[in-house]
Amino acid sequence: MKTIIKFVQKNTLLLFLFFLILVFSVFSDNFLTFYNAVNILKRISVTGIISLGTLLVIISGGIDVSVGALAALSTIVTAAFVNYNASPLLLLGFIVFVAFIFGFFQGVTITKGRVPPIITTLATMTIVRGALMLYTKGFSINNAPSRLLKVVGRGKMVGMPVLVLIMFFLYIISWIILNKTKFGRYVYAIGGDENICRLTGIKVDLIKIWVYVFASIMSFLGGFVLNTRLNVGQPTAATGLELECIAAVVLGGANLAGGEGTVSGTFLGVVILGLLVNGLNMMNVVTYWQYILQGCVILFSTLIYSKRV
Amino acid sequence: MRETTGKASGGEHGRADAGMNVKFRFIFENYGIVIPLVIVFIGLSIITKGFIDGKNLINILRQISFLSIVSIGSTFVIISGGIDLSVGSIMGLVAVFSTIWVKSGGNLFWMLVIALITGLAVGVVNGILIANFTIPPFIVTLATMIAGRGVILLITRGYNISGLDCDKFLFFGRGYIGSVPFPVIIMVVVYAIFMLYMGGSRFGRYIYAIGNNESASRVAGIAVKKVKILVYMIAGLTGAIGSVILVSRMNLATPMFCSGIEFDCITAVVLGGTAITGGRGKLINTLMGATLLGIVNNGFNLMGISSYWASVAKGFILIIAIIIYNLRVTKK
Repeated sequence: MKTIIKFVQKNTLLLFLFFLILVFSVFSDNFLTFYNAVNILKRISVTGIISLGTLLVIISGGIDVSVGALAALSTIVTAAFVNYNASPLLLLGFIVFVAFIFGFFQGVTITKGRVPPIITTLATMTIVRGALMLYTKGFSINNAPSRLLKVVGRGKMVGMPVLVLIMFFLYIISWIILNKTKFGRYVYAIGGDENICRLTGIKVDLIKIWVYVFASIMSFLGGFVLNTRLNVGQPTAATGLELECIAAVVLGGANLAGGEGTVSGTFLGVVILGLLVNGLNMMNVVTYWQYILQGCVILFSTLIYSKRV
Repeated sequence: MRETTGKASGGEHGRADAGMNVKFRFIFENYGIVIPLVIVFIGLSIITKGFIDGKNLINILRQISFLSIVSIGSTFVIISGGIDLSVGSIMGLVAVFSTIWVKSGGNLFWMLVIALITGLAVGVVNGILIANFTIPPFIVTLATMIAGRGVILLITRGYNISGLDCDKFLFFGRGYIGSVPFPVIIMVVVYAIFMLYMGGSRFGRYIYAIGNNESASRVAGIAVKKVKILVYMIAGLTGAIGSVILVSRMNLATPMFCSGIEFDCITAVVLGGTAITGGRGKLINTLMGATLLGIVNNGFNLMGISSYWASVAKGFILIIAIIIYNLRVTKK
């Protein structure tokens, strides 16, 4: 009996996922098909990618609410490049470059300027959203038809949509960074106890800056993928996404105070949240319940994981 | 936590000129906002036509009254070392409840009661989750904000609530006593009450104590949990008051009512010189911070600048204000 309880406690998330899959496959005939699974993966791909950035920031003990705004900026940038028929490599390079700048400024403001992460990222979000509205005057920018979108947005490789493959690729890279590099271990350490890290000689400020750069890059890549899915650049895209990512990351076991969190947990969190939203939609529940759900998920997960510790 | 604020940074001990530095820093910290305020005011009156105009100034006062009342709650929360992101959702809930009540012909007195109770109730929920369950304030108020907004959307189903034909209700936001707008009078009264009571009472000092060093406060016997819950209740209360004023002035309740106002509140508090890390700050400073924001908003409006520029500007102002504060504090 004890071993069962222990097993449940250790694998709560996975079991909850299986439970959800079970419930949904009972309610809907089409649920347990490969086609549907791929569909769900496609739908969560944007949130999944951006959540990686949120994960690293949260592990380091910070928070980033600017990810949605940066993703929206990225959709606009992508739309602009596509409309000028620029090469996709140039586009990606530019995206990473701009992401680096945003992440760098946020990181420096947080570390050298000593402005708390919540304020910095909140301010960035306000500034970017405002600037986007000014630039686009509230209009979306449609993409001209292009090969890039056909390949990434709709294309498939080895039977999986390219979008999903991109997400998997980024997850593998993040896993390697967090678990197999010194940098990753430093991030966990800083989240655990920042002062001790400083005393040990770890370059805390430098690592934190890289963390926010990473989050920024993930936001921009997520926005790029979002653009290819919707085929449009919107100034209002990804509104509220930052909170969804935080919910997913926290659900996946990350501690908002820092020091804990895993890539696999985040993936499960993203999938579970995606399933819940999908299920609610299928049951024709009003969309607004999703907000309430997200709020409850954040609170609930924090409570559960804190009791365990 | 960082040791760069307060006495722990070691700047005020054992230095020959410590006395002069301390005094200067004290003045700068507590009243430093006055200089930028005056500069911006004078600058705008030169640049903008119609700024120094009786009507416009009264307009500014009315704008300020709303934000400054709501920011009272945020001031206490921040001084106590926490943060409240749910203010906007609280205000939205109060707005929706008030308008629905008034529209169905309800009594104005009971509308006020409903509004205040709503604010207090959400504040209590926040407080209990933060104090008793020890969940970080950021998470709790984030969740409350999201969930609250969800409830508002559910009730309104995305539609506005408008057309309340009740003159007495409109008096809150639009009425005048003499030539002074009613909201301004409410602001003066509320500020007077809070400043008098909090400044001179034990409760007020407890808030500062908790913000400075929570564990020491607990050990010293302060009922930390109760104080914290009360602080978040005050935040809910002032949010409710502000919401009634705004709804009455606009005669309209929208699903996204006051979404994002928490950002303005934090900006007003921080601009006024209150440390974001807590432990110090004064209500009068928040009033000045809110005044600065109100003047900037008004000036932008008069100059015909899009309000999106105001968003951009406010974001930068917030960051720069905190950086300047940090520079001041650690300048030894």
